[in-house]
Amino acid sequence: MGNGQSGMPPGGPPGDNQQDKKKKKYEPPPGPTRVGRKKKRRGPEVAAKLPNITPTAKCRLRMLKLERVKDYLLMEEEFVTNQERYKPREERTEEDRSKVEDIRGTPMGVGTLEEIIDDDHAIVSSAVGPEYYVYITSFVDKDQLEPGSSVLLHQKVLSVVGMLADDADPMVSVMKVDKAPLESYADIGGLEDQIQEIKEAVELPLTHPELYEDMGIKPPKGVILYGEPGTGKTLLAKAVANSTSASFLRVVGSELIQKYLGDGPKLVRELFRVAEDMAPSIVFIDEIDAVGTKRYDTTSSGEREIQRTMLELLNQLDGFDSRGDVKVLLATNRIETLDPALLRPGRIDRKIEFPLPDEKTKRRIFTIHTGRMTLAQDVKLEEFVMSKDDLSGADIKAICTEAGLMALRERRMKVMHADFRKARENVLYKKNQGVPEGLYL
Amino acid sequence: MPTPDDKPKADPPSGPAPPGKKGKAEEDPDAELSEEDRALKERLQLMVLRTMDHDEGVQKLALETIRSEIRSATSSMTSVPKPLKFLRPHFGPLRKYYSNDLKDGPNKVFLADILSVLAMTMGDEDNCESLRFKLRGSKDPPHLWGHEYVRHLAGEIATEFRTLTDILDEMQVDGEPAPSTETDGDADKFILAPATIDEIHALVSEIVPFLISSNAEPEAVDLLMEVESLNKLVVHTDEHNYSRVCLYLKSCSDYVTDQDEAGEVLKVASEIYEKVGKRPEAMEVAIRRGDLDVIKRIYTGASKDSDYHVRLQLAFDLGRAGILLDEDVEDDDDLRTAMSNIKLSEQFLHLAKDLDVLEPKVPEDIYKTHLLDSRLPSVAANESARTNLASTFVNAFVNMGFGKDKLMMDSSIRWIYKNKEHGIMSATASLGMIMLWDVDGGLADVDKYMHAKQDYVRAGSLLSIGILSANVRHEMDPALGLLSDDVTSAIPSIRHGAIAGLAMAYAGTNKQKVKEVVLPVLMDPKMPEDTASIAALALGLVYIGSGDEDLSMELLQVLSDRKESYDTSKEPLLPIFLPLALGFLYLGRQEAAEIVVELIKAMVGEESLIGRVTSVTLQACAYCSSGNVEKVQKFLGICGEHPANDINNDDEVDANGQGQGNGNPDVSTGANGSRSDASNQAGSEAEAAGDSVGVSNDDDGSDTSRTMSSEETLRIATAEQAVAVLGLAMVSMGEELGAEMLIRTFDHLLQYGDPVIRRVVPLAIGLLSVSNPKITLMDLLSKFTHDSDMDVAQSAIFALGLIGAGTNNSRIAGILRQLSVYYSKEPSSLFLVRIAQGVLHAGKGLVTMSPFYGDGRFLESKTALGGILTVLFSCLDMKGTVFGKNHFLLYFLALATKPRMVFTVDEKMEFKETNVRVGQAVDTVGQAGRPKSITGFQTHTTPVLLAAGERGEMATEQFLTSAASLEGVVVLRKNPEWVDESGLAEAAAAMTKPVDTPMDIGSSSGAGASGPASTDPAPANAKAS
Repeated sequence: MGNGQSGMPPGGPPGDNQQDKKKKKYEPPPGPTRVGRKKKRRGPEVAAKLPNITPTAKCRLRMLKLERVKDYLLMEEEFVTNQERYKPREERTEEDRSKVEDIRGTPMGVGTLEEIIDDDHAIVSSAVGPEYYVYITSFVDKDQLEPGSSVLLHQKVLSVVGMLADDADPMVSVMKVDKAPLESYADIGGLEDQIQEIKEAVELPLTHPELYEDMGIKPPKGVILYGEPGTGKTLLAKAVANSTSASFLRVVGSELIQKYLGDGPKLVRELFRVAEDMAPSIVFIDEIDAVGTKRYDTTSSGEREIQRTMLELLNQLDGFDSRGDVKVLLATNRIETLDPALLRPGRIDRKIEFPLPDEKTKRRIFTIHTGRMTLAQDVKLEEFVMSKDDLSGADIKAICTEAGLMALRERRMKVMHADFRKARENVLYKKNQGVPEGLYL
Repeated sequence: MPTPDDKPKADPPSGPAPPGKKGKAEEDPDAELSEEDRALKERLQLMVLRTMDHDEGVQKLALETIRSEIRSATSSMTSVPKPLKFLRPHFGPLRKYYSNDLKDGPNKVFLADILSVLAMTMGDEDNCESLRFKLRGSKDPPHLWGHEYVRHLAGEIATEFRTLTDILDEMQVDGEPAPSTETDGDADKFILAPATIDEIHALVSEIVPFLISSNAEPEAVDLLMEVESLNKLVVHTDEHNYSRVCLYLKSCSDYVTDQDEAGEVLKVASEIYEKVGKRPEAMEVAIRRGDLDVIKRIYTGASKDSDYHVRLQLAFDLGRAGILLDEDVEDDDDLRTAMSNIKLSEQFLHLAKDLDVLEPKVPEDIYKTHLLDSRLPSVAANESARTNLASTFVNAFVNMGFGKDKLMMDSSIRWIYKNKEHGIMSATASLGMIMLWDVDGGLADVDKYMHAKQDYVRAGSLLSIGILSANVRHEMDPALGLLSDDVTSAIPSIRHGAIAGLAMAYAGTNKQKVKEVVLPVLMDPKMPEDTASIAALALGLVYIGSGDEDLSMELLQVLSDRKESYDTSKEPLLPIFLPLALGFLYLGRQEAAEIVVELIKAMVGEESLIGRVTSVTLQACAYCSSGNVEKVQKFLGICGEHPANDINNDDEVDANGQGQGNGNPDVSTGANGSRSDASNQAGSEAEAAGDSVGVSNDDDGSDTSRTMSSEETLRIATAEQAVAVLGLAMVSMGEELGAEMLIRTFDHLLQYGDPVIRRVVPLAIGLLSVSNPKITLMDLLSKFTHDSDMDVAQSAIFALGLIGAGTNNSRIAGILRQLSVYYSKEPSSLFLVRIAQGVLHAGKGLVTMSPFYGDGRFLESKTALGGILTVLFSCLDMKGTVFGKNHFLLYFLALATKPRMVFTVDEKMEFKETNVRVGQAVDTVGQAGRPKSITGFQTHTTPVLLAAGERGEMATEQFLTSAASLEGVVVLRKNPEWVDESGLAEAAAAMTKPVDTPMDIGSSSGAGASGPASTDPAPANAKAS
């Protein structure tokens, strides 16, 4: 709730205030009730949160309960609008703000909070060096203060008058996908089973948790997508991000490897903390094999750091604290190298394989990619579809693009069948370039 | 007219898409289809074509194929089943064909079935086509088409039923028959005739058994509720599903819109319980409904011979609810003992002995000054009358019910005489608290004070007789005999003691004799105001929730007779207790009180102080714990007014002068100079705002202020607001959700409300969560205890005690200890801190003052509520009551006090030790499977304590109980199938019969080992969290 004191009628300091001050002199207040950010910091403040509605299954009781909550909210709204009409909030906050501004004074200095002594005193160090024992003004949110944070200091008396919020690691905020990718489920050729599985494991638990409750099961927590390169793992993740309204965090495994010791695990923690703050959310870690390889004895400190990062990941996936509405998507093309602990059910409940496309799928992929190309009459995609080459989705896309480029080179407006054939050869040649054909076989 | 030309047209999907687009649209989806899908689609298309064939045989075959396709499709959670998807485009044509061309016959019925299923995805929502086709179709059980279909049907039934009843209602008004013929418009706007009520009921009775048998009890209940035939539910329940059904019904009853429906829901729940022979559960529901006939029926239904244990349990349950059945219903002495709570004291002492807290505590044990900073001047050093009075109260609360203490009982201290005047009365009365529930023993102890010379001692002894008989019904009615004579005594304190004593002793009994004794006092115009107020309160408590019309008329009479004195008198009790007494009469009676509200307007006047306050109080009481949102809205409206500012705006000339005077509203006279400053300033600021914004809601204010002085208006408005804030809490306290939401609302009240509202909000928070120390509330209240407005701080201090009442919560204890230092120079606040400490440690932490019991908040005790409300309403004016001479009112908390124990007895009412698991209760309503009802449990040996939000369950199978919930006194019965360990050994040796549950035996012995642990955590900090 919080605003109790500030909500009191504006007025001069009441008479008994003096008495209180007198007492303060001989009565050092008892130790700090709370130091730093120990309070739960997830979501909105506890009091402002709406109560949980218990039967999650769809039923009349739930509806009635929700209606009750709605009634109360409407009444709150009515009350507040009436009061605002009576005396607008801006006016009052403006008053308060100007008062606070007065107390703060300008200019302010920046310092680092070293230690909190009690409820309203702390030791700060200013940028210049020396440390001071100063007063914390009452309007500073003490829950936010923690040793090491940057605080605003009064110019003369150096009392703490505010704090500089450095909330989440800026690295994490970069990971958030603000603009949904353009790829949707419609852009995926085939992969129907995979889509269904991922929907069941990731989307449905966030949108319809009651279905799982009805059944009496816990929805899966995480999913790993694995398969040959270019089979659409990332594409599917993009489609999920596109279609979901949950916040989507994406990170590449290699990003979790940091220069300094302990930074990697910290980043993982931050990542999941942010995910929980923004719940419901989906965390997508691409190329998980960068951190998730099997553990082995090593003397390389770098290697060990990577392993510790993975251990943190293990803990975040299924550790002591329960992850609420956070779903985890992992993607890799080398599932066999991953640590078995990472893949155990409970952390990753579903393993979705992305095979090389079969003929039907290849046909779909071809139609998707050639959908916007102008094709000559003679193009028979069937030829490529039926060929025995190991074409992945990405290869097919490459072929189509390559064919388009070929046509472009000859200034044709249409892509001929020959272009496709050439393109296929090019692509296949380049694909097998690393391994000279037939040499080692 | 199906012509050959027609068919091809109907064949391709005839959506709204223009033909040009159609071809492409056709191609595109086809391309994406797999082989099988395409085949399926083609097959279905063909079948649709064939359906429109002339030949009935062909039609039939086609329909059967479609049916089997639909039924065999396994639906995924995420998508529409394929056959349905492919049939979508054909729905329109088929429907048209059905209505226009198809002849009646088996095929028409058949097609209706299929259309009904198709309508699930395609149908016109408003017309409930699915349902209407279903009714025209075959009478196959609907569940053959799958669960989703049944659900959909259920949904449509609800909509259809609602429209039907609306139409019927209209018909009764208009007298016109409803359209009943099939109206065939063109194919697009084609409407089937609505179903009739009978048809709906027939279908419902087909669906309900299916839903119940497939673990979807909530859906079945919902459906029956929608079609208003919940009573049908009874036949479908049995011992396998009754608990889930009833649990669901019980929780619905809190939230259904009106009182009648809630009553109906509970009635069905009670019938189901009775049907499956769960009498204690049925009794709980009956008690909640307050239906004495049903209570008697349930009670006598348990036979005295074969079901003695059930009957005994019922007797204890009735005792908890304060219901004593007549002698002609129950004449067995033992059972009457159980019902009249005579054993309560004995059981409580047993609990205390088991937890090793029999040793009396002195106030210092509670204050724990040694934990405070020793450099400070000792707080306890100055023995003023007020500190002694505080110690008296703390002593009374802490040792309540233990029968022993170290102040009152120790004759060498002569503690009584260390108090002054009314303090002496309270001190003597504290004897009643100490001897609480022990009528026989207590009377002997009190007796020596009955004939003391000092009037105050005698007054106190009279009151203590009342206190110690609170909630206990002694067959000899000693209290009535001892107190009646002094009711009309010439000495005010003795009068008050006697009347208040009667109120405590007979609260909730509706005892005619008490009325005969007290009513003359109330009606006597010569009696001073305070006596009349207490007399009214006593009558209200005795007849609490009875809705007694004679009494209410008499109270109204007194109200209008004494109307004049409210405006002039400064007597604090009068404007509080007379309205409250009337409210008590109608406590929880909801609409029954509305007529009285009208009467008040007529008899007392709408604009007078007492009229307004009474009307608000009455409504608050009548809708107490009903969760009625309309009342909440009304009270919020009252709270949203700013009378002080409005008046100041009205006559700006006087603004400053008035502000000084008006800042001190009478109901809370604790106003000091500083606050009038504040309100004054607020007023002048509002003035400034008023020029530009224009104050919209000052119309009432200006009207009344013309007839009355603005001071008067302000006084009325603030008095009304104070009650309205408490009213908010009273209305919402009945169910968790409202209570939680109200805490949010209070936030806004605190931000925008006038000072008087801020003063009452802490009390209201206290009321919302009596004996349930939630950390968030604790933090909030703790913040207010340092508020610059002393009244807010004092309310908060008291509320802190109230939310921790009887819990020994260490956190609250710590806060209060700090406050005792903080306010060490402020005698009145310190006094309140002490009281709060006493209440916090009430009964050494073995009791609860929550008016709610019975598995969460299912049942409420009206007398307990009455006790708490009496105290809270008197706290509206602390100066006049608690700090004045009427502090004995605090003892009314004893009415709400009950041991928070699970006490197990055998059929002879002897204590019987057993193991129970105690853990945090989990809401299992409407959950699948058999979820755990408690979490984080520990196994203890009885007797055990239950904290707020905890639930107990039996840990062994050695004993069986029929109790609805493990709370209070629980009657045990030996499990006839139980084999104890020695028997087990024999059985194992003999190898004759397989031992059924070796696991249980292991766990129970383990539990036995952990049992002793339950004794040492004592009550202290049981739930400190």
